Amino acid sequence: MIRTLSSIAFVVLAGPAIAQTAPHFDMTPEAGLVTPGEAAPESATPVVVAESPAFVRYLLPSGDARLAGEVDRRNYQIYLTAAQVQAQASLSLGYINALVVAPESSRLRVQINGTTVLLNPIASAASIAKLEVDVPAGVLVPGFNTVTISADQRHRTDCTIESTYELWSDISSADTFLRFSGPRLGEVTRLDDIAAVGWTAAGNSVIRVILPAGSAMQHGALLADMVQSLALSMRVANSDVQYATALPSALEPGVLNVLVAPAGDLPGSIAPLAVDARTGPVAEFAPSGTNTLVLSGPDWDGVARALDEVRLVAEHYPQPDNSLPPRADAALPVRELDGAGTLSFAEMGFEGLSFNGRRYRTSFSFALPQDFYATHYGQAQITLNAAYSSDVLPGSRFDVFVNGHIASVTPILRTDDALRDLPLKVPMTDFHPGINTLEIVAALRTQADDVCAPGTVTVGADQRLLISSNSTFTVPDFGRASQVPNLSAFANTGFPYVDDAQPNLVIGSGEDSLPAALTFLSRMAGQTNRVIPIGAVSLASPSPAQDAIFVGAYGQLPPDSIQRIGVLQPYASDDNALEAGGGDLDEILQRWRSNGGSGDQSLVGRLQTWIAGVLDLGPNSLGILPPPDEPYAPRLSDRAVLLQTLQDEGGLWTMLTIPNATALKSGVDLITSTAIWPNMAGRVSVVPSDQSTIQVVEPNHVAFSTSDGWNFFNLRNVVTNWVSSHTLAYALGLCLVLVGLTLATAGVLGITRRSVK
Amino acid sequence: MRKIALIAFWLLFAGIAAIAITLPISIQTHLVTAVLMLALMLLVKLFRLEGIWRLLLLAFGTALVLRYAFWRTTSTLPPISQIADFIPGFLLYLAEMYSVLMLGLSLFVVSEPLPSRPATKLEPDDEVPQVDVFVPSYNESEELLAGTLAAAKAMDYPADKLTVWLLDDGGTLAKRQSANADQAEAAQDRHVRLMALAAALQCNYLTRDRNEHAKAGNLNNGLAHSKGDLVAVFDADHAPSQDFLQQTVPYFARDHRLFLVQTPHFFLNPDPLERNLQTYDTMPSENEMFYGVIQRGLDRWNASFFCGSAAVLRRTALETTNGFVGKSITEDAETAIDLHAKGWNSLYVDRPLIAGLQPATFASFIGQRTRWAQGMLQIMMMKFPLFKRGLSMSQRLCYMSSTMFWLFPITRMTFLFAPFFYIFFDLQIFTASGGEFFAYTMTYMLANMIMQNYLFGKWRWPLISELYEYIQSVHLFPALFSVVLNPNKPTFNVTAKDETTVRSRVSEIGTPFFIIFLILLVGLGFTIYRLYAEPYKAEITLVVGGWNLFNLIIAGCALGVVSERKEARQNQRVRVDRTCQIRTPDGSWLEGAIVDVSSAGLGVRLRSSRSGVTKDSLSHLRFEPYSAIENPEMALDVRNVVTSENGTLLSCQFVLNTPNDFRLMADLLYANSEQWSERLNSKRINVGIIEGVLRFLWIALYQTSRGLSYYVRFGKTPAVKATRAPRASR
Repeated sequence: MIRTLSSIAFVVLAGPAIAQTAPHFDMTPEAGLVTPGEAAPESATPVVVAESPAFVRYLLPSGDARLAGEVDRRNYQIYLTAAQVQAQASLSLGYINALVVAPESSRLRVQINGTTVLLNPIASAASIAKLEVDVPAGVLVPGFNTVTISADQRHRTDCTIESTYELWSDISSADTFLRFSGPRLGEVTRLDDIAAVGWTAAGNSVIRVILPAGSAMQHGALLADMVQSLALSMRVANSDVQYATALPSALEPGVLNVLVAPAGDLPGSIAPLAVDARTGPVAEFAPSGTNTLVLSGPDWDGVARALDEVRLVAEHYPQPDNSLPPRADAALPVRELDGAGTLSFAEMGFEGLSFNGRRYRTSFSFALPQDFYATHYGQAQITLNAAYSSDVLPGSRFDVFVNGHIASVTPILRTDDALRDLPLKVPMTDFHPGINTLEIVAALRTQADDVCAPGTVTVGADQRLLISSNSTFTVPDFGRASQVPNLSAFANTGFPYVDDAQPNLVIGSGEDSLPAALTFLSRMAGQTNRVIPIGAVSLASPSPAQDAIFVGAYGQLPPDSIQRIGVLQPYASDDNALEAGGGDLDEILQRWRSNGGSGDQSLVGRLQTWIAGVLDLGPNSLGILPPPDEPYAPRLSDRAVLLQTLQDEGGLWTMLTIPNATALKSGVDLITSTAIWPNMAGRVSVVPSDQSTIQVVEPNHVAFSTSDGWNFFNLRNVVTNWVSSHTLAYALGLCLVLVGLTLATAGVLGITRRSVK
Repeated sequence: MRKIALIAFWLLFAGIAAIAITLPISIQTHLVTAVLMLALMLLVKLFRLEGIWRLLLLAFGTALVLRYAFWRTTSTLPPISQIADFIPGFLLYLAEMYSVLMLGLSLFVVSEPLPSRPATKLEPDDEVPQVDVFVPSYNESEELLAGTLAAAKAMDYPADKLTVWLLDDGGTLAKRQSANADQAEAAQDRHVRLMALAAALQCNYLTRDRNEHAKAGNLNNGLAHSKGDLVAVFDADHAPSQDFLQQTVPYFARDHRLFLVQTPHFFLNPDPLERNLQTYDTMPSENEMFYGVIQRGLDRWNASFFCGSAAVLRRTALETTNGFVGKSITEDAETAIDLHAKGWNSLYVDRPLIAGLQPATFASFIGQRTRWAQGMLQIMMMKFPLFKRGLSMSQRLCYMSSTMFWLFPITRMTFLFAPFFYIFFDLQIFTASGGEFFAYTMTYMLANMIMQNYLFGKWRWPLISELYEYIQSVHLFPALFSVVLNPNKPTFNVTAKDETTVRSRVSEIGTPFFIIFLILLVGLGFTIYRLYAEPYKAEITLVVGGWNLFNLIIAGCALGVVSERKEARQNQRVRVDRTCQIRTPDGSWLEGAIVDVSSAGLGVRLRSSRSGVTKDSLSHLRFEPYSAIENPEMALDVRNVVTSENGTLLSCQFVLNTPNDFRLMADLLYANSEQWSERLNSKRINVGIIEGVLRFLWIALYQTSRGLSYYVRFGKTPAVKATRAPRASR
């Protein structure tokens, strides 16, 4: 919806100027940004191009960012070197906003480590405004800095809650950076400062691997380990692994060059390091000033030991208790909940607020273990310690979204100025292992807004909503049971490969397959904060008893693996399935089934489907014996397909395949983007061509296991969740138990019976 | 060994069931399960399956109720930080849990009621124990006592083994010497006349010096002056049938630890609810559920208890407790629990063997119930049955069920007022969504209704329990509190059964019902207003408003109960068929048949359509009595004559002057207990849930309007004392 609105705005605003693109500017359809040839409003400070040597550190690790609605914020974690902190720094920010944003009551704010560095009216609807301010000395610190960009936006003419969806400001990634004045400030010289490499203007952290020709496949496992460790050390989610054959000539922002080779293969230009490498492992930056990390040693084993030093970097970062460490694009700490627990808002980075608008949004994250198994029953609870001004009309409400899905709607029934607890029940349906995001949206109605008198449109007189930071989020005790296949656990925690026997990485035969696979692994590591230890990289199908991860285009992966994992030949579209897919009628029928049709067309089957629909139950919840998991038939137009199948022989196979071989790189990049990757679920997840919604096929057969034994309470939770998704099993099971109890009761009554004589 | 195995088996399944029921499953799974189980329950009910199916239905129902209780406990209580919500919310929760507990106890009690015992009698070789019959009296009229004494004396039992005692507490020395001269004179007069009556009926008259310990003291005085092996107790208005002792005494020879044989209380007249709602002829009476099912259920666990009258007790057992125990005002149940605790057994004969009178007015009905409720609460507080030593586990549960039942006014009032917290004060005392309410509360209520109807349908129609509880609760609620505040305070008040309802009026204690109705009506108005004004709360408003509406319907029906109908015929007739002869004015005797009898008169059908008997004339009746009565002839006042081609129908009124008249009247009315059984059975029809509810709604609608119109037309007036005993009035 939001996207639709903004793209309409895009078309309207763009007009004839659509062809003009600013340099450096990424014009993806998502950005929805244009730079018409009008002058920037006065309030925006024009960019002063610096003459002196300077280094630009881009601030947006995910590319362009949209701040939407009345309040929105982004928190980034920027690593700076000691030299950068010493230098004179300025902050630049480029943005463009929706026409309806009222400049007099809308503000854009940038805080660095809690200090407001920039505060500016939002008033650049026509073109990208480029602001620049000096960063006061002492604000920046060596190491990680928290940069918060927030927008407070009000509508020019409208008082409705709906109108708040029209508000947005887009922050241009290419125009938003820290500029450090001084020579060689972009250079990273210490391994510990590796996170200072940062990212490109588009928000990608490029890992450019340079290694001796022909050694890539042979040392694939080492490379896989390396790119994952680098992503963890750099704390980035959007890494991009590339190959190069020659050493770089100049420093490029956001690019880390990694030279991987034993001492004997090192080029002469880095002679001093080569000397060291002959005697022991070396993990140091080359003195060339091009951010080239040299991983070397006397032989390939020595290279592997050099890699251990990279791994240590991440372990030295400060890590809050029970939290996942922050990431460049997610600076707030993420608490881990291993079982029942209560988190205060303060613990999740919420500082309390007062709000005078119509629609307030705030979100935070928490992490669940890889064997979280409680999505079918039970409710978490947000206890909101909040006060509302008496202007707020009953009928206002709180909506809670879990991982982007609406989870609950709670009306505000009583309003007065007292702080009181309002419980918001949040069904755990959309919770998944790993990091979960919870968004609370308050939609506030007032008499004044209903009237919407001139003069009251933009300026909220009083604070309407107060939320205290001692509000809490409580998760009840939940079941812990690992399941396979479970792409959600895989995507969000790396389960089960992270702590399992080393899986094989099987890649497609194409040339770009290995970089794509490495990109995939390093992005996954960055997002899950875990490393999957790869045993070997190969092109051939592994033993079915062996765990394996496959990455490649459909036609390039080993056909027997494709068949075993259960993915059919991609077909062109729904309409001409017959011609395109080829194959016989059975295969087409199978395709149709695997695309969500009910397999059972008998009366009972249809009745079950109907009841399940009415009650919002999952498929098969009313079945007794689950149907088999059919092979999946992707469309040729699908951007990426992720599948997981447990082989009868015991190997768990996970496959990322791109139906269209020419789109391998873009498909991998897309599916592993932070907006899409956490939504992987079931046994098959598909990113369709329009990227609208992820298509998920749930497994009918799931293998359970547990790491910490089946104690009574865990078993109870697991059974509860299982029967909540297998409704009829519970109903019939309970009936059977009650029949048994009845017979037992009859027996006991029989022996205590009294005579009537 | 087999016993231990069975119990282990039971515990295993109960454990699994408990775990399965307390899984916090999703609402959809609960709903599917509940619907499936309700459907199975309905099938069992529809096909009237018994035996093991009965237990299965109860198991399913219990599981659903427990699922509700689990959900209610874990998911619906308001947060304790919202104290204004929490306190009433928690009280409501407690009231609901009490209901669930009571349901559980009552299911235990009636899990397997004993079938009715076969008829029995003393065999020629049997030892015949000496029986003393006690008829305690306080203020009952001479006529009433004459009938009872005559019936008692007419019981089929060797005359030398039967002594009938009139235990008069209205003529004690203390009363006769009262400081109030009028009262003293009345007591003296009563003393003299009752002595004469007793002598005429060959009964023993006994009174005492002071009215200590009320009825228990009176009975103990009787015990002190008699020596019989067994003691039969009949309230002054409870006349026994001829076979009373034959049906009860033999059991004492079969079990030497038997202390009690209790029989049902059967009533010849409607209670105020039955009379005012005109349901007496079609609907089972209130006490049917107790005497028809619950006492049989209690009997299965050897926990049938003494109900004050219509029972035979063993003297040696009573001696171990120094007679009847009188710490509470329900000495009957108290005596029974003490004797059960001493290892004595009790037994219940499911056959009406006495006929008595219901309180005629609503106020006296409430007075009677107040005594029962206060007394049972006293027993619960003084001898908490769950921990009473000597009782078996099942007896403890049974007595808990019997005593805790009387806490119902507290819950009933809670349910009545709970919706107001939301409707008027906007407090959220029950946190659940409409969907949850539907999935849990509705299925719970349905399961409850199916179980109740299956178990008690023949004896209690749907929603009638709610009505009876409500009409009692309004006045019992404060009465219970007075017991809690001072357990020894309540005193024994004798229930008046001699009031008449000669004119239409609203009961003198009826006003609170109109006030409550009004408040509920305002609540309904608020509901409608809030639905309109606060559409975002429609879901919860509909649920609470529906609940309030339900209360309103019950309260409306109760308006009819407290609006006392003028009743032309005070006494209900029992259908009989006995040949008789009627003397015509010319002195000849005509053959005829007695078709019905009431305590006031009888109907006679003559074959001749030209009998010559005229309206408002005096005639005589002759018939063959069941018991030995020397002169089987009595005078009749012919009040109406209907002549048809088939014969003549006479409506006559008794003229009761001599002891012989009373004997004859008693023989007609009480001798044959079969006719009472028939009458009870004729009303024992399960109308089913749907028809029962529809009937109730219709009654409620009509009674609401009648109650309101009575209030406007007649207003409140006190009851009228009968000038003659009800048995003699018409």
